Amino acid sequence: MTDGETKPKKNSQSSHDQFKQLLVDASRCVKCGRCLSVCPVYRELGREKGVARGKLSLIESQGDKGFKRSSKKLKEIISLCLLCGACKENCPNLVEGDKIIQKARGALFSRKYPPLPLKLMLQHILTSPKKMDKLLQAGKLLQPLFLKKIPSESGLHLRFPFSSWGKKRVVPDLAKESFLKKYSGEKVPARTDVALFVGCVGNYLFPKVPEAAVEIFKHLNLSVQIPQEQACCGLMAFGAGMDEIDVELVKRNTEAFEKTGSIPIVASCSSCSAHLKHYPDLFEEGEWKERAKRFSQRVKDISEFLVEKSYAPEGKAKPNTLSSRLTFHDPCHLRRKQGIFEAPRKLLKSLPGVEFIETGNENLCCGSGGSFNLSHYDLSKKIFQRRIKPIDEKKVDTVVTSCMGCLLQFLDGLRREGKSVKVKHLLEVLKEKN
Amino acid sequence: MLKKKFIQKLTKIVGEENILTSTEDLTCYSYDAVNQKFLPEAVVFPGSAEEVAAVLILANQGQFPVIPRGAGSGFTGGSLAVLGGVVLVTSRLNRIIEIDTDNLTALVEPGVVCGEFQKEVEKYGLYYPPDPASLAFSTLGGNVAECAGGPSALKYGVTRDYVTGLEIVLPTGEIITTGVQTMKGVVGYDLTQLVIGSEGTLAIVTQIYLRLIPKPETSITLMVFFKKIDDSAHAVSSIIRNKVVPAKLEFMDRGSIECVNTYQNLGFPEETEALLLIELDGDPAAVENAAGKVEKICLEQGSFRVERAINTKDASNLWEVRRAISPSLLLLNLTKINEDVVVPRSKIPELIHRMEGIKNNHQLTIISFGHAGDGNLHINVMFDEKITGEREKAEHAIKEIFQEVLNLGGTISGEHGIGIAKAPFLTMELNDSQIELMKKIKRVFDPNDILNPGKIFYQ
Repeated sequence: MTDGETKPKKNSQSSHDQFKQLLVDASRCVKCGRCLSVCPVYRELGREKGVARGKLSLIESQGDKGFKRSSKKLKEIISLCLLCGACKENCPNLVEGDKIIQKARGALFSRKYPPLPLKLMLQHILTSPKKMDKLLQAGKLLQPLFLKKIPSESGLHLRFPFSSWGKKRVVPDLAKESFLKKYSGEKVPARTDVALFVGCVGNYLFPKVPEAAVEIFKHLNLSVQIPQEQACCGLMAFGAGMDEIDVELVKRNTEAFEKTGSIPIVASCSSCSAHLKHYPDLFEEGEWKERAKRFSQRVKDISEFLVEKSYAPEGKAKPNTLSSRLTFHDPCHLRRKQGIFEAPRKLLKSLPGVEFIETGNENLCCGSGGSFNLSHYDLSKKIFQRRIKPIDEKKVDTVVTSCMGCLLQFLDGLRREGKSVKVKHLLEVLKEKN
Repeated sequence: MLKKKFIQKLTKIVGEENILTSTEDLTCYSYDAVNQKFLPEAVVFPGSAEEVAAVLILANQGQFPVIPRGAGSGFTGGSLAVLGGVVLVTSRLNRIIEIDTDNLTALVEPGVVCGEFQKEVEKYGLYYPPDPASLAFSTLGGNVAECAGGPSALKYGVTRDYVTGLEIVLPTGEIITTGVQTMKGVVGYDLTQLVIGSEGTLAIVTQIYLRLIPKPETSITLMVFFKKIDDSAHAVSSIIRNKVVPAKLEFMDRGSIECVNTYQNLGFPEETEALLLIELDGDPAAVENAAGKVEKICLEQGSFRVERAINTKDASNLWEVRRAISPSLLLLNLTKINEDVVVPRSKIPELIHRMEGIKNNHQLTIISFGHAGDGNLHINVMFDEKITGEREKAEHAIKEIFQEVLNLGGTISGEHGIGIAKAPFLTMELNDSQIELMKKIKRVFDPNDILNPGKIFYQ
């Protein structure tokens, strides 16, 4: 595994075949129009390019030649998707719109897509934890230059807003030390019951989330192993169509966790757990597909794992305090891609001092969409505004979610809207109320 | 061929952000639910009736087609730019201008989504019944153009029964209103009803005056299972003959059940050859009474099981699944030609019986479902494009079906219109006098034939 530049090697015959398959898949769309009623992007834009039906017709129209004439417009349109999966969920013809669009991004990769800053970040940084750590240290030093602390908030404004990355975007404080580094000294016990997959945001921005996982495991008398060689799960690269990078990360993670035997692998971020379960699909038949299968069969999202272990909080509600009115935001990667929506609710409803509220649109995408909120900040903002509409009406005081992408989107979005609603990860809430 | 100067003038009319000219953008407006592709030369999104008028005036000057488009979900090619030209999308005209709870009326713009409008008036205890399967995404303007129906048509009628007046832009650019804002009126010729169902070839609708009714108090949804398809058809006729008019009376044959089961497994019993999905609505006592009558009739006619939907959510889900049938048929991986025929209800058993005959004679997959209660069936002839001769066989079968329908006193299109899909068959139902009169009317409205040309009367 090299730390340097990863150039995608594309066998021209296999990529031709892949493109042909893409055409076949895209042409299964009959243009009935049902996706128009559920696509968050179409809802805001009112333009066919924003919806699955439009994009699939565009892919179809490229014909056998593939994306040879891949214009700027084509790339622009293919990037205009959250990959939330609402189209697929509602398609009576079972066309997997999000999957086809992701594959189209892969086919476009060699054609100057995605945009260079994102490409550089994914190619050089995510694949190298050492580089990430160094950048973190540098970032911590330089932080005051670029970021201004918001008083009484756990967030910061970009001081010199790069408008394409969002004026007045709120970003979380970088952790003093990455979670993995903090736990690097820990001795691995002889027998372990669960392995923890940390994920980038938990590692570098919100270590309190994986820390809460470790504490909860302790409470359940489960000894945890945290493989040091784990890397980014690869979802961001996958979403951008950078399959080679994703595969590199997949292999690294598979190897790292193979060393932990066959204990469950629990991810504290629902986007990670979804992608980790998806690993086998990234390979053709062969050794790596089998290894990936064995790996992903062990993967559990934190909520499903805790419900399986019959986790129950012990604390009692403090007397004379108001109940917390909280709601759960369903990450697309948890509800749609893993079919999990009861488990987090079960956990939250069992907490003392909590009144659980459904907003009525809890399964609407928050608009984060991986790198979508970077490249399409304003649109991402509009999609988010629609999602949080009922939160005021229902007087919710805390939004809980289990995906780091959603968490960041809610943190930024609610501050920007000037709302005092708190945002917490599921694990934080469970730990607090214990 | 759209000259550059016209693109510039169009840009001036609607604004730069509201015109599309790149091939990629145009590709996204080259289809509707017919899934045939015709690339337009430009796509515009006007923001007012005045802008619509300016576009049409320009079209007369430049002799280029203008094709109005709502959600592009029509089944007969109404929004396809078959002769090139400019697609005019109504999505910016999407306001519900007023809901009048004193008069039980509403004023809307054509880009409003049907289902969204229904949800909105429901908040006031009101009901807008026309419920095409596309209601979650089709627009009221499109519904008006095709005179859309739906399962509720049995008791409540179709789109034209709820429109009292319109604001329209004529192909020559004049903006006029038609009809009234009151519950009735007969002043001059009924231009409103002429425009409704004219498939966007006589005028572009920019406002719609609708009447609403009070929302029914309660409803019961029944699922009725049959082992024999003929029994289900006789049950339909019997229900009507016994003077029970459900709100909805839908039919599904085995083929449609199997396809939609793949999309969402409903766990219907294996021996089901046909299913009736029935909704009764109104005052609770009357609904209970009617449900009892219907259950009795169905059992008498040979149903082996009658079930009631447990709750509103359950019922809602069943109707949601009903709306998913048409696209789900494509799971068979065959090419589909869908028809939308109507016969007098008493002839439904005979039509279904003859359908079985045609199926067996031609060895074709034919799947039927639809509004059996008002005699309107969606008949889908499915064939494998890759096998030589199959398409011809299918087209021959369609002609046979149409002939049967006409022989039974029926019509070849109940709700979908003619567009391009059924244009080849128009002369089976209309004679020269009828067609000539209609063409004359078209010429009066649109002397230069620029509004949605190539539809209805063309081969």
